[in-house]
Amino acid sequence: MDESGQEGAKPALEIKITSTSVEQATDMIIENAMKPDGGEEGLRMIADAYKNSLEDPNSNLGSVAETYQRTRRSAQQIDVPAEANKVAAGLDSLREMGKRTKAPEVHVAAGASPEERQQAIRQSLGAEFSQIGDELAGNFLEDAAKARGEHTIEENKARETFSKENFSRNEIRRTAYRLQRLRSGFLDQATEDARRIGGRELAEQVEKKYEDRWKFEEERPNFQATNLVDLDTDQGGEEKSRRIAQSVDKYKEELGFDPGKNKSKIDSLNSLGEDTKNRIFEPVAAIERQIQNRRENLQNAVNAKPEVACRFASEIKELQLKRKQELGNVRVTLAEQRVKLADAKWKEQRENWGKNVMGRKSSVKATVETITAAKEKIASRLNLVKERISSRLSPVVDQAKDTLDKAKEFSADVASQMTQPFVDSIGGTIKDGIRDIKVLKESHHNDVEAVKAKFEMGRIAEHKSVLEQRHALEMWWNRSKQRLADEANILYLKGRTKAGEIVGGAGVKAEAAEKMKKLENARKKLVGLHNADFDKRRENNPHFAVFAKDLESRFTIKEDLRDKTPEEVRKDAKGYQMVKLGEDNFLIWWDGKRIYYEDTDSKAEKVTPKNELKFNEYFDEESRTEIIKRVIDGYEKDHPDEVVERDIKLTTTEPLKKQEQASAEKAAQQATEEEQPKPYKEWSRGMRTHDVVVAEMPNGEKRYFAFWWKERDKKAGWSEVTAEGALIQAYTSDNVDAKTSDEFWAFANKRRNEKIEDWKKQKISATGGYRLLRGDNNEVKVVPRNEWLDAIKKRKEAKKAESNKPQANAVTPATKPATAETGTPEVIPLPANMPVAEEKKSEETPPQTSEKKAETSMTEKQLEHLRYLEFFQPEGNISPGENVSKFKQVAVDAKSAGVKVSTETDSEGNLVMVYINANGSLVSKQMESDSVGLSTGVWGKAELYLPSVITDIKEKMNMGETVISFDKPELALKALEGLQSQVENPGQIAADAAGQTKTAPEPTQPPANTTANEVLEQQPELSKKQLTATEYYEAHVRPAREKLDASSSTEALGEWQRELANYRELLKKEQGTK
Amino acid sequence: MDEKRQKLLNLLEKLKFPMLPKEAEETISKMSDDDVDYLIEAYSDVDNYENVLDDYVRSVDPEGYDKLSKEYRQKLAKIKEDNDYKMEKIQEEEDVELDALESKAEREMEEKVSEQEKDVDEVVQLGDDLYSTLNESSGEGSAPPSE
Repeated sequence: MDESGQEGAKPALEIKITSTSVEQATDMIIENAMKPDGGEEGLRMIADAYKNSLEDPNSNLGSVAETYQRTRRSAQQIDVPAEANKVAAGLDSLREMGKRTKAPEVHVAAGASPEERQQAIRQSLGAEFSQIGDELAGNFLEDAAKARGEHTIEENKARETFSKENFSRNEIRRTAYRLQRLRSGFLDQATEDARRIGGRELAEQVEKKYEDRWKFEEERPNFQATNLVDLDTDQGGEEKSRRIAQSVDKYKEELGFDPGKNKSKIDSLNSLGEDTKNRIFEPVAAIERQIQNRRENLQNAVNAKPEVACRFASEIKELQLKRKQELGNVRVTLAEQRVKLADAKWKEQRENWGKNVMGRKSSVKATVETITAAKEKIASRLNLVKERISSRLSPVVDQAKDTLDKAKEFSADVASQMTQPFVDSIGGTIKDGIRDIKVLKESHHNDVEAVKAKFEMGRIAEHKSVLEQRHALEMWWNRSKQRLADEANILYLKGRTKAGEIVGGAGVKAEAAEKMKKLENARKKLVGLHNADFDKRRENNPHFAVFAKDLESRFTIKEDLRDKTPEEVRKDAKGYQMVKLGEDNFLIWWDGKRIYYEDTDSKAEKVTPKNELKFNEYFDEESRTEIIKRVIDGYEKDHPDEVVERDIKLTTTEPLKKQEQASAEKAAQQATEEEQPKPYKEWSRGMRTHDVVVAEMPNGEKRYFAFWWKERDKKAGWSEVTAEGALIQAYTSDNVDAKTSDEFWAFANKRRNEKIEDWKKQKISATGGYRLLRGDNNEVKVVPRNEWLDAIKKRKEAKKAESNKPQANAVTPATKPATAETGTPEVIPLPANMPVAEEKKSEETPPQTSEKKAETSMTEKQLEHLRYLEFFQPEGNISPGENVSKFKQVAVDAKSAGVKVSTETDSEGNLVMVYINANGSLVSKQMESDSVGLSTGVWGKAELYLPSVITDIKEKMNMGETVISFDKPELALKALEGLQSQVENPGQIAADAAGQTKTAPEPTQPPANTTANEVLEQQPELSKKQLTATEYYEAHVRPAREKLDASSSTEALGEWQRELANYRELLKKEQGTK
Repeated sequence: MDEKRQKLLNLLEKLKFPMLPKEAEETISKMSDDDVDYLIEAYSDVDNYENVLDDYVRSVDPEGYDKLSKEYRQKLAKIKEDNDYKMEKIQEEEDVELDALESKAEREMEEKVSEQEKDVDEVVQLGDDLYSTLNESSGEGSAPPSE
């Protein structure tokens, strides 16, 4: 078969992929794509032919010649050799694209024959390749061809716009930039395809090809001269005359649009002599020549850079204005011509008049009368002319009269003296006009230049910025490729290549080895340039220094790599050891800076932080130390005179810390995966633990999860811990931009609730009521809250006793320890989840402001209730409704103790609670009916914020806007207003205490706010007995509390809360009686 | 600009050296021949290395290369897009100012020229009127008053 596709002599069908073939293929596909019948046929043919070549076991896989034949056979209608070649080139492009596209690794048995190998590859890849072919074909049509098509359509439109006689800068700019965007889109696609086919060089070729195709043809000569002097010698100046005549005709044509108005101008123009006409129209003709030149440039600049097209458009607009200015001069000259014509007429009239007057020997008196009459007549016309002319003509007429007055007899001289000033006046006017136009032209030119200079500066700055960005991008691109090359080197050395077998088997591997060698040589040559000569050249050589900086950065990339190649590393190694571990042999060496290891004799990896972990998988710390010791000892033995630095850190701590900075979450996970659990004191530095939730797994296993935050690091999260409090794994470590502890707690709560929700989905039951307790010796364990509270209480009492010791005791230690008072308990036992003041104080720096005063001015009870409010956490394993119920009871208790608190709930079970905390800040807590989670908001000083929050909500509700702070603004408003009334009428708090919560009935919940009196009424036996508060406490509250501690159930909590409220009421009654 | 300096300029442009062409031309023209030779060699080596590197990576890790290439193209397209946008914006602002200047200049020029034409027309008319009046007077005065 020859090139024409005819069977016969064996053709040379090795089609080389060149930019031309890509271009041709593109054109062909576009041609097909733009056919009205859909146009995918040709492309589909290519894909089908290629697919068939892969599926046919007898085909020579991947052969261009084979696919060419198949394509030709398939494309029967393409018999024209050139067209067939295009198809083959397109097919070849597709093949190359497919070759470079991801394909799975193919495992070919060692020692397989070429046929077996081909068969295996075919089986593995056939489907993928045909799919790739389809995809590529589709993509190409979608992207490149579509982009080219759009560009072609837009290009034609642009040609029309650019050829318009009257265009605006705006439309040229828009068209040029629209085209530019389409061009960029297409070029990006085409070059990327080319890059995939033939790499950087082919991509550059294709880019250049299209750039050449779109290249703006060299600018036509720019005729800047304002005359046509260069045409003087051209065919005896014929061209010049022709151009001038054209300009005159064009102007006449323009005047002809309004012949009535312009009659005098047309007459003046016709009366002009050729010389004058040439003189005044030559500048106009020169400008028109420049305009013509720019127009041609503009029409050719359709695919030039937009700024070039805009520049031409702008120049044309400027020249058009210049032409108008030149025509202004022409118009003034024509006016001058009219004056000349008038003067000739006047001369004749003057002579005639003189003859008449003199012939009659008129008396001077009569002449004076005549002139006076003429003057009056003229004076009436003077009102019509401009002031300037008027002022000129008045003296003229006066002078004429004066002349006549003095003359004994009127004469031609007198007449001349009288009328000449008219001519002079007109001449002066004309000169003024020409001067004005010149000044105007000059001023406009300066303004335009200033504007252009201003924007040119902006353009240069932008251009420079783009160059810098491009440079940075190129450096990134090279560095990234360098990284890929490094990784590929390692893979290659390990006997694996990503592309090898797929692309061409052993041949490709050999080719890769060849390329690798070539790369090494190129690198060595480049690195070799960074030498003393280079450094010397840059000294005191500012011009060279500009390039030296850039070169240095390019050298540096390569230098980083140099110590990564195993050959060089081994060559530079200061010592090494062969270590056997199990089945594996390790060659470990040291270059004085880093430790390297190989696990076969052909592989090497640097012990980077990442690889060090791997290194540690094989060797424990002791072994590592020993290995390194042996390596260095060996080196020392060979180099007795050298002092060797032995401090080589091989623990994972340092690198992990660095990683933690980069990615806290990842590091935490890695750390926990790689390390043994850390004791609490190690991981909890600066960390405040929150609740511990015990998650019972479906298999019965109990796991403990501690929620925590670190104020210093502004982080919060949760960790799995052992029952002893040691860290197993830190799950999250979120940066929290929290300014108050409330915000931190809110975040920790959120995390906690999210986790609990997650567990629910996994059917993992979660139980709260635990804390991490730190003992006196810093030992930590997970304990129930009541145990934790007891411990805190004891610590608090011990502290109190310590502070109550007399001063003397400070010198002489007390021999008798302080004892807790007995009888009616001074400190009301709080629920398990209620922290006490000392715990908070011990962990937080006490505020040294008025907030401290606010805190100290509150009673201990109020503080405790406040903290209860603040630290009360919804339970994850009970319903939101139950939590609401508990919350309401907490609020009642707090209010009864004198805390300003207000709650509102609705029938759906949503809750909003607002209160004023120990710092005097306004706090809100919200709970949604479908979530156990609480959201907390803290505003600042309540007296300042409470009214503004209320006003804000009201305004927003009136305007129909969203109230961001509250999900249920209606509820919030009621609660806030309730709180506001308490602030305004503090005395009402106690009175309202018992029935504070004005909630909608919640049928599913038992009445939680039953008072003691009601209890007594409901339980006559108690009433009869007239229990004292203390008795009531012992009989009811303490058992309820014990029950609660034992069961931690909701019912028990509710019961205990009711009993506690009853006890308080009795206590209050007793105190009131006393 | 001699041949070797032009060669260096071409190399710098190819390797995206961040300098405006005029600026580069000026800097290179001030450098010694020896330095220019050195830079040609160095940048040729850089160019060669980058070609070899590109070819190598494309061969041994086509997948990685494609991924990277895609990212490169995206970044490049973004730079170009941003540049086009900014250049269009600059051009638009310039066009608006130039259009305004031109309309102002055209208007002023038209005013001046029209004024001149009108003045000339008026004065010519006055002259005509004057002579016409005089001729009329002289015609009327064909029988001048007797003394």
